[in-house]
Amino acid sequence: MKRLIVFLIVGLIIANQVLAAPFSPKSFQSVIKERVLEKAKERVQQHLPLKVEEFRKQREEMRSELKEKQKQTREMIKTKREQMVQKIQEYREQLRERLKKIKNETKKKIVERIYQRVDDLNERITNHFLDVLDRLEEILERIESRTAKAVLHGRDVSEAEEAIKVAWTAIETAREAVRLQAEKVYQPPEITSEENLRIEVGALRQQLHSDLKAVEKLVKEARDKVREAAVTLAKVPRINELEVPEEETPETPDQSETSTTTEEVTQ
Amino acid sequence: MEEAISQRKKTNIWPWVLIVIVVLIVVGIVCWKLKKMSRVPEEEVEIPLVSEEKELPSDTTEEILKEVEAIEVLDLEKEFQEIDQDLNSL
Repeated sequence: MKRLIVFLIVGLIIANQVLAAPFSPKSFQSVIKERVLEKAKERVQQHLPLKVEEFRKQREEMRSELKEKQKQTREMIKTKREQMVQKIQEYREQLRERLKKIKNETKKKIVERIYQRVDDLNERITNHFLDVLDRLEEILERIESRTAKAVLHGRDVSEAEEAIKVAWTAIETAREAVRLQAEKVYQPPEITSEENLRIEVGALRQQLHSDLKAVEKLVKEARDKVREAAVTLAKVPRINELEVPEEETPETPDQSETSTTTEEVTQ
Repeated sequence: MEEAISQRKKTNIWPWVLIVIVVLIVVGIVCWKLKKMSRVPEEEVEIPLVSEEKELPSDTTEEILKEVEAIEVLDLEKEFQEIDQDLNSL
């Protein structure tokens, strides 16, 4: 009897976890599910038409999923920063203790101000990086939309598709790096003497600078990858004339369009 | 004799515990389903409203390229100027 009850309780716990799973927040790393490009490819493979309104709705869904993901990143950073408040306070106290060795009151204040500025600058720059990445994601969604329209017309846009994939990965990598940087709290500098103050505080400045430079490199790389995806797509002839077909999706790629593409690309 | 009675009483409690747990599970599942059902219509109403109001941004490659070129990343050296000035006064 006891075994049966224990079994039931364990079963209940497992069932609760399974039922609760759809409501738990999605992890930051989760892949975007509402991709217009993938949906367009599916339709073409199934030889099913895609209505204009349906396509529009798919774009909206993708955009709202992106927004949700962007919001999640910011919330994760905010939560982490709130958890670190105590630590930040302790570090400031530590710095005040270390500064007792310094007689010059003006210099003491400057060091405290620099320490505060390091934290403020990290927050400001990482916020700016997140803004850039949000913008890049929004642009990449538009590139996907245009590529999906080409797919619906049976055009070969495999190069653009590959470039889009690379760009998504680059953005994701950069976003993770920005998040980790934004959550960083720098330890106060070691203070040995008034003569060494500039070198010691300078080391902290240098640390922040090199950390931000590394993240900036990833953000710039993400921007370059998005640009590459746009340029690759722009090479497809008459790409901007393609809209969601009013009638049924063609079952085979348009031969005349494909041959034109090859000719123009060779030129 | 008394020990046997108390032992029997103890074993008699377990079926009741089991019944209470089963009832709790059933009530929990019903509540969860009811909550889920009440959420669905709200979401269904919201989607068409969004699609009617929102104007989706253009997806022509010219527009896209223009926007990519317009994205600027802050100049880090400039941003460090204030800290550097403070450092120089140490």
